Amino acid sequence: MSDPTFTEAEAAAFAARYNLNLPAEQMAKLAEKMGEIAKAGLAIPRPPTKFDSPAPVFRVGK
Amino acid sequence: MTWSIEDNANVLQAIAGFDARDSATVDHPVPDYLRGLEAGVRGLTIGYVRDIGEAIAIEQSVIEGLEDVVAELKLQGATVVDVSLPLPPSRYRELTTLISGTERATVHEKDFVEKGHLMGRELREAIMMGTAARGVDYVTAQRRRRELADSMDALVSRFDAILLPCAYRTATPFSDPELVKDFQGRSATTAFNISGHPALAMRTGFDGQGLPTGAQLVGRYFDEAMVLRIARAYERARDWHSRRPTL
Repeated sequence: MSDPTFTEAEAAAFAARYNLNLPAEQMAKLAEKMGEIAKAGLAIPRPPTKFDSPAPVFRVGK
Repeated sequence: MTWSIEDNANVLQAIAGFDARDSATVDHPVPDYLRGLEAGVRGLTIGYVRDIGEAIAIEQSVIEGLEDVVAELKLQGATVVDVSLPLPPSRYRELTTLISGTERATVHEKDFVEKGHLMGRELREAIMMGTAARGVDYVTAQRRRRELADSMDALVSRFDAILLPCAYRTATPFSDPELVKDFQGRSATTAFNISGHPALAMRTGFDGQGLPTGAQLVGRYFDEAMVLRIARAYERARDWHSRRPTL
């Protein structure tokens, strides 16, 4: 699978949808970061089944 | 963030404890972190991560510092055993992009929406990423986090503490932002942000330029007192905390 990419126009549409107050010159960076976070998300290993959801081990008094 | 282990214990004593307005706290008694500080390491067993499992090289000055800690702790009566991390530290870092980015974007949402263009570059770009994260990926990252915490705890709970590299290189001068970014990115600290084990960065000396090297000590859940005790045993044998880096 190729890395996800976003255009400046897609970044501008995203910014408009969420009322982000970012100037036009920051749209290229927003597009780049949208791609980075999408790539990071896809890189996380998925559990084999939907029933594999381990409980937290972080607990008091262990 | 403190010059000495005693200062560190004092700061922790002041900030530890339950706060109903802070979701990162738990309602658990806070021990006296100063009481056992001078108890030494005789009879303790410490796991030493000599090889972190990364292709990236660790600077020789950092390795020498770690070996000095090992030698000193053995001299004082501790048993030091070679161990391996469940995964290389970079595998934990993959999760922090999602988790920290999303949570940072949540905390700073109002400021980012209204005046994101005025934020410093690093913060603004981190929030840009978090704002664009998918909920599915964030939840998946949290699920993966629990798996990684579980496997890390299986290691840490076998020892009184774990010793391993902190930053892979000597500290860099603040005057060069690119070097600082590289310094921050090349470290084994993220693994314990993910697992939640108490971790302490301590000085192990200075390089040829007078800049500090460090090591990382990690303890069992809620056993910050043991981490401080071991760090203090090493500190007492050296004078690093009384020296200042060349700036």
